[in-house]
Amino acid sequence: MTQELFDVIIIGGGVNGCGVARDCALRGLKTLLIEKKDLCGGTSGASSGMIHGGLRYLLYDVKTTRLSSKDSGFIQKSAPFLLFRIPILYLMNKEKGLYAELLETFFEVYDRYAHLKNGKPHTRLTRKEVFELEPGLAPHLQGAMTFDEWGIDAYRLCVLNAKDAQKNGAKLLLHTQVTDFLFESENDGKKKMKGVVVQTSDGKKQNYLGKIILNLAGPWIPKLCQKVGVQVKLRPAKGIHIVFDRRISNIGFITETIDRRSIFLLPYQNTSIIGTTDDDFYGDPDDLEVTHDEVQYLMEAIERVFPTIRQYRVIGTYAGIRPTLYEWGKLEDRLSRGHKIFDHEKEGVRGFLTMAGGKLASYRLMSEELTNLVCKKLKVKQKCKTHVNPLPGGEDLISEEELRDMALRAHLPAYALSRLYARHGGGIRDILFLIEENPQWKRVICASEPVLEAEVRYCIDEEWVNSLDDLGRRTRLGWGGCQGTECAWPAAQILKEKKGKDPKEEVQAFLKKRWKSLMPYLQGESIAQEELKHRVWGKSFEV
Amino acid sequence: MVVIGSGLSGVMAALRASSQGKKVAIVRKGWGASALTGGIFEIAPTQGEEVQFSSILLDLKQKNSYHPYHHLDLEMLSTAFELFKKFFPLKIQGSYTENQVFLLDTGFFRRAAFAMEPQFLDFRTIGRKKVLTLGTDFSWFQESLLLPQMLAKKLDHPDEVRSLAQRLKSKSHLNQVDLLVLPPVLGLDFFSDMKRELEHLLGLPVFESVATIPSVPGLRFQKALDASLRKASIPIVQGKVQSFDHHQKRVTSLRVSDELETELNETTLEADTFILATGKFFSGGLRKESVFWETVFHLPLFFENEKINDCPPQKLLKKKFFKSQPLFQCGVKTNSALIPLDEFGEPCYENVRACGTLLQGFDPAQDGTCFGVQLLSGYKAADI
Repeated sequence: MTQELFDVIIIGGGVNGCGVARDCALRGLKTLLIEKKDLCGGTSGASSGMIHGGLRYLLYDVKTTRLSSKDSGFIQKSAPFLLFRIPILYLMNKEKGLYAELLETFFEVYDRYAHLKNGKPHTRLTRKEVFELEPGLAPHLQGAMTFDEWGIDAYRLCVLNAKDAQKNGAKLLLHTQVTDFLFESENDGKKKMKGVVVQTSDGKKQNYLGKIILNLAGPWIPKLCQKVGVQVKLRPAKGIHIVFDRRISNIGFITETIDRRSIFLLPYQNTSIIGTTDDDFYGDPDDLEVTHDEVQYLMEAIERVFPTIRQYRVIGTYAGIRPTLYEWGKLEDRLSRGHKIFDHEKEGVRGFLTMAGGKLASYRLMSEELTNLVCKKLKVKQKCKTHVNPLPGGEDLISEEELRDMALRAHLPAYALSRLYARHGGGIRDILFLIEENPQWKRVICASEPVLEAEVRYCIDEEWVNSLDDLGRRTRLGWGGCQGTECAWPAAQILKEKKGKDPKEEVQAFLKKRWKSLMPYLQGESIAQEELKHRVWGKSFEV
Repeated sequence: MVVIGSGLSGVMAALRASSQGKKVAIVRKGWGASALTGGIFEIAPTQGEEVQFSSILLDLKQKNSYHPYHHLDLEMLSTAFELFKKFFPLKIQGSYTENQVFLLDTGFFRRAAFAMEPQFLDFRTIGRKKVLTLGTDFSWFQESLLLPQMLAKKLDHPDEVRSLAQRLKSKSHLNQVDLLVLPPVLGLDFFSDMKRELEHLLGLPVFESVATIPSVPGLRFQKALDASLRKASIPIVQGKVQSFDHHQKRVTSLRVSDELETELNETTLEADTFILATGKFFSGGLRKESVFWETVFHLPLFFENEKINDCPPQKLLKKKFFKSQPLFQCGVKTNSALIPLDEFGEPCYENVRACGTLLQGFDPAQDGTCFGVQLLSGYKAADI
């Protein structure tokens, strides 16, 4: 029996891996995606979750600003339900004078890109107007520039790309790690990569053959290259975020840190986030920890413009590694967010390509560029369709009135349905169908979001969910105020029923992870919540 | 005497002082962690093969000098509990000598000395009896989409209990089982009556599992604590202590105001003795902003011998979630009269006593002594 031969094997299930898999599959290529953990489990998941133009890149990386603004527009068309507008104030210490004029000029330039991403042009607010919008700001502020950006659920973006890839024939292997590469020698002395050896989470090894193999492993790119015997040098940088239990304001703020870097406090879904740091990283991307210092550095800066910030409840932190392109002699902040494709043929290995750099907002464009190259090599003439084809759930959009009607008919709160719609778009019809057949699946599993039992079941069946963690990435279950105190156990029961997972192990792993994410900043109400959680779960599995 | 906090230890102290003829008032800002009990009460952990409390407690008392048991008279436990039960309207059953085994609503078992009436089913004693256990996902509970507390309120009506009984009869083969265990939702205010009603309708003994997440048994327990204060005619002042006055090492008065009231309504409470029974972080007795602090008298806080008020919280954390965390063991350090001490071992205020989970040296959530410490230290604190 001859072994199946793929046109493309993609290593990495982040937004680029999923985006390329979708593009390849849509162009009829026989595609395989391999991810060692879960979709969107690395850099993509640790992003700020914005499809933004990159205001801060405007000064030194205009190309990135233009490309990401333009692509933001395309993503809005293919999955409008995934996006949410975030109005933002760029806070000013002086109302008039040269500083304000220069800043306004800067925003005038940014306005040129705003229409590409359906943004509104900036306005300049006086001190009085700023405090009418947000009385909680520090009194020394003198005004602000307004602009807007788009937030996106990066996890959903990955999953929807992956689902579309699968629908178009791609195969996905999650929790499967590439352990080795297969080569054949060619006449000219060069090697041709002909496949990969993988190991699944239960330890089984298997070979997969492919014509072209793509290294889209983000921070793990250098490790894979080392195995192959080629080199891609990155300048990886760590970035952290702090998450709060609620929307502190409906407006985002941009301000400066002690070393004059721009950072933000944004309303994000039903939480708020502060981000981000940008520091050279020399550690192991599999072992990331947020430090107390990093959190304090961000808190200090936000506290100067929003004095009560420490009274709000932090529910967690997260860290990620940007796989930035290598450059010597630049501050981390000033590194280009551009991307680059490396064809390792020059180094004597045919059929192996790496793509590094870039940002969440430009994933589609990067995917298109790489797929174009793959098609050229495979002599396939299909054109890219990812900017015109809707993502799953975007084919058949539902208006707000319709959504309210559906809620009434299903006897569900309109808010629950609107959150469901934000994750699944038109896909909620499938979930509502489950509820029609099984009315008891209306049960609210995670009240913070809310997540209903039907959605949990749907995601387990349709979206490669294998653990409570995966479920969090698909639905935000356990990511709200209670951080799994109430929802982890009932969700684990459903996982047990459908996947045979030991609920005790699942809950333990989930709580450990949540604990780790909160340890760097535990104070005020967060301690009270954790004390409660320890009381509920600390001894539950002992006897 | 003024007692601050209306959880188990505060109520115990107030009841003892009042039964000795003292004029007592309780001030509280709201319900705390006592309103979260799952329905079972721990005195001592079971250690390996050893099941008898006497030797376990002796061991704890002698080997762990930080544990509140170290300077409490364990012999007084039954005296304290009997006094408490005189005023407490709910039945609490169990043993002073060894742990029983109870079923949690998650399906796991937990050991404890005592349990409230609907939870009192000791699984060591059921022998070969067949037990049917229902979860909250049983269809009758799910159809209403109510939270446990609201479900319990709904089941305060005999009509609803009849409807539940009917569903139970149609869905399960009740004639093949000897006992029925429901999730803890069978009535909020009239659960004893409703339990009897359901037992009558089904012809089976009915119990409830022990609650893990905050829910119905905790509400029943706190309501019963409030009722025991009423029975002993101890007034409750609703409000938060805003500040206090002291003359040298004696606290003279508290200023209390109810933040929920629209008008600023400040009350001054004077007393000979002040009992601090405010609990840990969840209940509001401790708080961490830029530093750790005890919220009423700004007492120094300790973990073992180390003063931790200025300690970064990371130093009090262990990386493993399921390990007992020093953060949740820290609290007020006292002498054997339960008078709070400073880092030099000197009393902070001579007429203040601390009791309950606010005390340092034990982990109320994990070390299996919470109920014992609350009762005994509450009882001891009122020994003036």
